[in-house]
Amino acid sequence: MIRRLSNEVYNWLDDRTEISVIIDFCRRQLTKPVPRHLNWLFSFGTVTLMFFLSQAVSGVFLMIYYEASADTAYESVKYIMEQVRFGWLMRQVHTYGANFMIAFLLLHSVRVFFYGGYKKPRELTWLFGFGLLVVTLAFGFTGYLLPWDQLSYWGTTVGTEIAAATPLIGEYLLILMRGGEIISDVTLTRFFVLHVVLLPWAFIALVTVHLVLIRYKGISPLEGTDVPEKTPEELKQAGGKPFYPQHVMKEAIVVLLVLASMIFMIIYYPLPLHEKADPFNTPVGVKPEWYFLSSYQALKYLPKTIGIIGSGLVVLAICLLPFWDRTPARTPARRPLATSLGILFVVLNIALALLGKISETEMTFMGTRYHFDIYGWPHAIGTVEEPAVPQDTGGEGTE
Amino acid sequence: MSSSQKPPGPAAPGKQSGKTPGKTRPDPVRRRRFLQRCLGALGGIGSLMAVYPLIRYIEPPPEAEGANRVEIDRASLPLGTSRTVIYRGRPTIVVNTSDGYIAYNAVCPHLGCVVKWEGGTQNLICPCHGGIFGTDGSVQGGPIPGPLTAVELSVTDDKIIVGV
Amino acid sequence: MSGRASYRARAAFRARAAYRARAAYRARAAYRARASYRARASYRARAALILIPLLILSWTTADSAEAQLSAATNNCVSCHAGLDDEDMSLPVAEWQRSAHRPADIYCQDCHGGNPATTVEDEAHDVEMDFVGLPDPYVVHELCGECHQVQMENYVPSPHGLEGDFWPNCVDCHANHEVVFPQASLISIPDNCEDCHEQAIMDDFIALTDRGLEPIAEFRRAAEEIRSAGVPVDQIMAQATLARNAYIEQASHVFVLEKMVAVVDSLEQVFPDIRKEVDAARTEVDTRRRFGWMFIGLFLLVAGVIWLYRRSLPGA
Repeated sequence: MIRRLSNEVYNWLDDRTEISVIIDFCRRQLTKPVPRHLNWLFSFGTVTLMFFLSQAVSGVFLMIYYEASADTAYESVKYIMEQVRFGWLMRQVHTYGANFMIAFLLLHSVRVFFYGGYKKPRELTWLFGFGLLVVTLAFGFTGYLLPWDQLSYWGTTVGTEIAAATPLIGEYLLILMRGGEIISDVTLTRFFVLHVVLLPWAFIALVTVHLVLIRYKGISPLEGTDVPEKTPEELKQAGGKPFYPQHVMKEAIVVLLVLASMIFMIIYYPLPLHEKADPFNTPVGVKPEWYFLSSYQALKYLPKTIGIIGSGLVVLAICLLPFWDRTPARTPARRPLATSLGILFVVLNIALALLGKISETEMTFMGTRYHFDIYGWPHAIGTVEEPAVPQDTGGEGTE
Repeated sequence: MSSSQKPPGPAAPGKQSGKTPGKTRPDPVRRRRFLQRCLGALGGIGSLMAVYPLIRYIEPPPEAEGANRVEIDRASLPLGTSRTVIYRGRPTIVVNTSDGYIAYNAVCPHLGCVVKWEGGTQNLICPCHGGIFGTDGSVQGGPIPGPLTAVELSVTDDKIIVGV
Repeated sequence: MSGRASYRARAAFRARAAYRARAAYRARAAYRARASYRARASYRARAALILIPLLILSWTTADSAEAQLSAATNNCVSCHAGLDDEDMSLPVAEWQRSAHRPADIYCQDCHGGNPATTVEDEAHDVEMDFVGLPDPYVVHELCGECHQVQMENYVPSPHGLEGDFWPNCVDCHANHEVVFPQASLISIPDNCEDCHEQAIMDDFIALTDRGLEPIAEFRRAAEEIRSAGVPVDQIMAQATLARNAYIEQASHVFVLEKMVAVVDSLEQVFPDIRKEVDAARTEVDTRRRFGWMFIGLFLLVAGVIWLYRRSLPGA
């Protein structure tokens, strides 16, 4: 009965739209075999995509109560977290989701680099992927300001300050980004528009092309670019499994595990909303979010102009990677130079981020208390046990 | 799971199922069908679990505690004047009449306009369709289906408190 | 009265101690500069040794070593810490452990002088209000600059004007190793026992615990709940109000009857706060249970997919 009805509907649609062509095409693409070497590392891209969807859903729900203006933004986020039923969940899913999404996007890029996935004929896939990375980081940067708490306000202040170091147009660029001399209501509105209108559509457009290219060209093989790539039939004979259901299921498992760990983080280590932004009171040790920490830290060591031009060149080099690295080898072992440079780059970034993390903090190490200056350089400030800081502070508040 | 098991086949040495030694690896087709059903059921439960917070989220949130109670300075409301405040999300009119303070839900029971105090006639009137209410909330004229709803009110030395 | 007699003895002792301290200070002058240089050198050596890997990564110049932190640039601290004379260096070590250290209260806040200079005579310039040993009669005014409420309660109390300011703030709270106040301060051996029976001290301690322990417990619970993401502003506000009421009306008055009245009125409020704490705890548990339901479901689905995948042909 139901089957007959759905057949009727299908035929009706097909007569008018030739939907069967599209469905056949999709089915063929879905069952196209993928090479045998696809392991768990190949699911990071899907995880990122899933987080984009989750961000879209939770973002739309947050917008129901969020009010983007300097007077109301903080209060509305507080309202979502404290008054709205499951508002805490929605906000935590969105905030944690942003961090997870960027983390998996970075992992995905690193994976593609080491497997040589950007090489001919997949240069365009890499370019669109790079665009997605930029858009996602822009998502993170603009979204960080929206709760309008002290951390987001001052994190954005130091973040936008980097743009001012651009030669010639730096000052102009800074004013353009902030919409004024300092971060204000105007900044919040333009960041909001970027975050909820422009960037999502940019992401959707880029990711569509990215996915179509991946499906169309197939997953990158391990052999060098000088070896002709296998046709789907050859792949199948070589032991390749269909994309659906085998690989999709593998990805689904990874997605579910990542989601479960995110929920664990949400219920045990929820991200707090800090004090409301106060433009006249800079808290100590202001830093941008972790994914900007390494470049932020690197800029501290270099003269401003050299730093910004240098990091611009690094970004450009990453963007155009497939066009200057045209060696045929794909596997890491066959291209030792690229592999070691890649490892060096990753390690350097992690080290810089760690230095950025410890800079402007205090830590006790083997009985000596150290203060780390803005360069992450330690200074001893006394050979003492932990000061007898009382457990119960803040009670003295009787003015 | 036992339903998806099959008598031992020659080519399938299989694992011990525990119950009956010698039984073998289940038939993959029936096993897949069983797992598919499991997935369907779990997916259903999962979607319900995911939809529940979303629905609850868009329901109007419970009011903050402060809004259940509105305080007005007595000095700011001289005899014969009125003030409309938001109490529990509804416009509420407080009037200082010669017989004491009164408070009503200001939404007219006719078509939802907000009533006003008219000092001259000592009446609450609805500007939309000419409804007239007495200081006791009763209908004095106009196409009004019923009286205004009184709102709890208490008075201290210097404040009028709407709500409990 | 024995209290008064005891005070005279104390005053004499204080005067002697002041002389001794000043003499020692003058006598050790020659050693100071060398000692402090040695001390600073050893800090730097140790720091470099431990953190070499990090230093390699950060190619900073030596000039960047200007510490931002005032503790490192406060010359009272850096100089005195390295002195060989224990009388002169111990206060620094004691202060490092004190509650004033994290609160950024430094030597000059009580002793005056100039912490910005390394020249000894300038640092201890009387023109800069340097006082080696503050007068015991004005100690409460020094502390009272910040701890006003405590001073206002203390001055008219049996220990204040009435008791000739004895004991004063530092007799109970210590001078350099100022710790966060606790009920046990009420019974310090050799301090209270001279005049008071232990039984009375026990009454005071019990009363303090009765008033402050529940508040401390509420705050601890609230902090824990806050870190779990549930708002506790209401609880915190109520606990702070209760605590302020205690500090304003009951602390440092040293009259049992007044304290009893305050604590009794506080105990009227505690059940309400406790109810809110419990409600917030329940909310934390509910959220966690809800989260675990999802985690369980996700793991279950992942497991089923895993099994399904394995049962596919050619797996």
